[in-house]
Amino acid sequence: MTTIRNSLIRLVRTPVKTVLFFLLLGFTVALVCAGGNLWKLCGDNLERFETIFTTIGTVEQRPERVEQEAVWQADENDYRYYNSRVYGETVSADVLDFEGAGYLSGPEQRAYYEALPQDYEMKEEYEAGMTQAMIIEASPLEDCIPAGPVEIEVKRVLYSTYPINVPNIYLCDHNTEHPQMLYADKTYLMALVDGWTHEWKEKGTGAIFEYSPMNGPYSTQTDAHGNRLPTDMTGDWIVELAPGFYESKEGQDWLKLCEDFELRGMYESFPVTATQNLNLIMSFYTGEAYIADGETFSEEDYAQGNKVCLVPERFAKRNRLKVGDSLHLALRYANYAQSANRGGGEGRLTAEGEVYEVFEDSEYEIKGIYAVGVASTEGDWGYMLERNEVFIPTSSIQNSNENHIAAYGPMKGYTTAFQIPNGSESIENYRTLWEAQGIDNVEITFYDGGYTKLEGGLKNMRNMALLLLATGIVSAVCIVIFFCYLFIAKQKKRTAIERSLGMTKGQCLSSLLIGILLIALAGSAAGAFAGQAFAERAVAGIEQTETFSTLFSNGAVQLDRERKEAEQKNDDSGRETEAAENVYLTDTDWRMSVVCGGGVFLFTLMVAVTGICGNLRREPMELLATAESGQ
Amino acid sequence: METVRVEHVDYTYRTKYQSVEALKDVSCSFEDGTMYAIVGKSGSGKSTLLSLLAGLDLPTKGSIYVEGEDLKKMDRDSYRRNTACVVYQAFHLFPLLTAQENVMYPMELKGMKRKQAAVRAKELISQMGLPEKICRQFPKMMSGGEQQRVAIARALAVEGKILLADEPTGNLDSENERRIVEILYKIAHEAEYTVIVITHNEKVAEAADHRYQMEDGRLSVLEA
Repeated sequence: MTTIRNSLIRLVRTPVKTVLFFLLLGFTVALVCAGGNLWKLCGDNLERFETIFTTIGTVEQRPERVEQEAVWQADENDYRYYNSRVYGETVSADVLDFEGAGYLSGPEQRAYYEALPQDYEMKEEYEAGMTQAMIIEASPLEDCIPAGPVEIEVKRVLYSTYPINVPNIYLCDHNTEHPQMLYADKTYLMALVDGWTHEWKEKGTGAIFEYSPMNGPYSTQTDAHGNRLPTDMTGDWIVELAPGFYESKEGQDWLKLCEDFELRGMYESFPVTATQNLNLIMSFYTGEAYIADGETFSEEDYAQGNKVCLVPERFAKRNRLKVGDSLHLALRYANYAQSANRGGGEGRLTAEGEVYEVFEDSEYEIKGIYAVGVASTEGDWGYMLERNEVFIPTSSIQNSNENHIAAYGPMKGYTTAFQIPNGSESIENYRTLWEAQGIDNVEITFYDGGYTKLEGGLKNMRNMALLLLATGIVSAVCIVIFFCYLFIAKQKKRTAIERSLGMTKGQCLSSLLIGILLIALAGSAAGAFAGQAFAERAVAGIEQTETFSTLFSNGAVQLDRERKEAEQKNDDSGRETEAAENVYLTDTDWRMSVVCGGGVFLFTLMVAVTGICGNLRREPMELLATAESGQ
Repeated sequence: METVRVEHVDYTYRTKYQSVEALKDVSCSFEDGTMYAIVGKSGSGKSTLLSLLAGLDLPTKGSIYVEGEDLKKMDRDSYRRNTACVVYQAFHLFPLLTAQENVMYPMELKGMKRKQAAVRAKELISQMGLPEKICRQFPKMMSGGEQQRVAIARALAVEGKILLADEPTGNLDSENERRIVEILYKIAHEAEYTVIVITHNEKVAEAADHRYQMEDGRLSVLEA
């Protein structure tokens, strides 16, 4: 007690030195704590954003040129012009496999698979009767050129989406400027689709409803490398019937086409998109599509090829499906040329004129039901999801599709993508390596959801924090050493006097140590509080000034969803939660302050003890035998 | 009665470059109620002997017995706290403590209550012929003579049997020198202390009952 009291008395009687040590130590501890806390917060935020954000690259083969395509419009008696992209040789997605690319997922050139409708409802009730496709035998009532609506008599219906209840219908070869002559005494087999009327402008709903040609039998089948397989089918919409026609190869092709229509109607199959990572699909990446019920695919689903699927909300509702139910998927062919939303251009038959057989027939468990919110996806509508589009892990398809590739085409942003690690360095590294490949007709566009900007800001802040931390540590070391010199090394004689008065070495140690440790403790604690408060204010300041675009920002969508969930919880519990308030993590970790403050305190203790031990090693008489007075 | 006996004491210390024989076969004895003076040139070994007598260090060879007990076997911190005390030429008071607090220090170390120690400290300061106001003064506010008297009061506060003084008058004028010598003499003869004074000063040495000469590490009796 005496030792402590005398030690404290000495502190009180050297107020300038004591207060200066307290203030300077507090300041340096504040620097260390602020630096440490900011450094940790930046690290935590980077780690958080790392899990929230993903960086994907979409790949698009550039067209060689764009041509104007003139399409005749019979009702306007003129051409309409469309821009048409002309691609050279298709570049294989294999070019993306190069050393050092560092993919986390992909690259994948996705296929969507045509799955038979089975007993599932593909349309809403109000959509019934929207598109009428038909394959019929018919003759014109008189010799004519179907450059405008001409009346034809339906003699036999080979296929029709809906029953044809009238004997005659109108035909117009809408997109041909000079259609071929049709003769009344001949019968033609033709593939037609509804949708046009010449008199719409004048008569509105009273106008004559007419049918236009659609493709007859044709095939766009390719081999596994994307090479089109040779076929004798031309896709002509009309053929003049002759005796024995249906026994011919051409006739058989038409019958197969009818068979295919019977199987799946005009639009009544549903597309199944197989992917290695749902984030590679732009709608999911941007958050436009999100899991409304159940959950998304796990890493294990992708790795082990689990038979699980995600179905659209409306499809599930229409078919009364829920999470955990089974979905029967009978896959017939793959289309690598388009996304499901842009698809449909593929030929319905194989190159040999056969109907595609089912190559993968399995029961999938519905793991999640997804909803599509307000579209934020800009650009090509190929990025949008088809309304009945089902998603499955690529690896869940066990049978090879090599004889079932109905179409193959150049890589498009909406069919080809990959994921790489987040960060500007990763993107730059990829770009450099990609440029070294020398492939200049393939364009790669990166989407990181604003991560690079956030990362840049946070990394700058982390560097500042490190600087602050380093400055704090150096200052703390200097201040502790300097004041330990004043409080201890300069007190050698005091120790010697105390020893000569019979104080034990332990008592001498306490006598000097208690005072300095009390100031160090107070300074460290005050500095730790101040440093923590400063760090919180600094991060809050950054959060207020940092903004980032929500366009193509899965991170923003994720954060927004977190915020809404947290707000929902707040509503439920009346408590505030972190995510409701902040995009950034702003709460400093008190443990960091304890570590920083404690570290400086322990350093002080170490220096002080070392100094005092140095004092105790000196011979008291050696110090006291001089004529100078001690302290 | 013999208080301290020094038997064939050698003391060698090592510097960075050499080892120095500071004391060579020193033998002597000191009795209570007697004032001793040890004279000698600087570097002759006087302060080393004092250091050994104060228990701040141990002889390389030989033994020092205090009331028949070998100092080597004693708790030397306790010995300094209870038996031997030292007064220095430079006074060595604690500058941040008042005169009274300086004197209270050894008493409190021995476990005496603060109030009791304060009263006793006042008495001791008064016995040194110092005014009461000195009690509240810090060493810097006092003259050299006053400081030395407070230092002696602090030494007496130990309530031991041996008072060792290392050039106690070295920093004082002749008037203060005279006073200090008187006090030391009184302490020896009235308080029955064994007072051992190391000095250059002939007058101080002459006041002692016995004188020793220290030369080149060897101690010899100096005839009156």
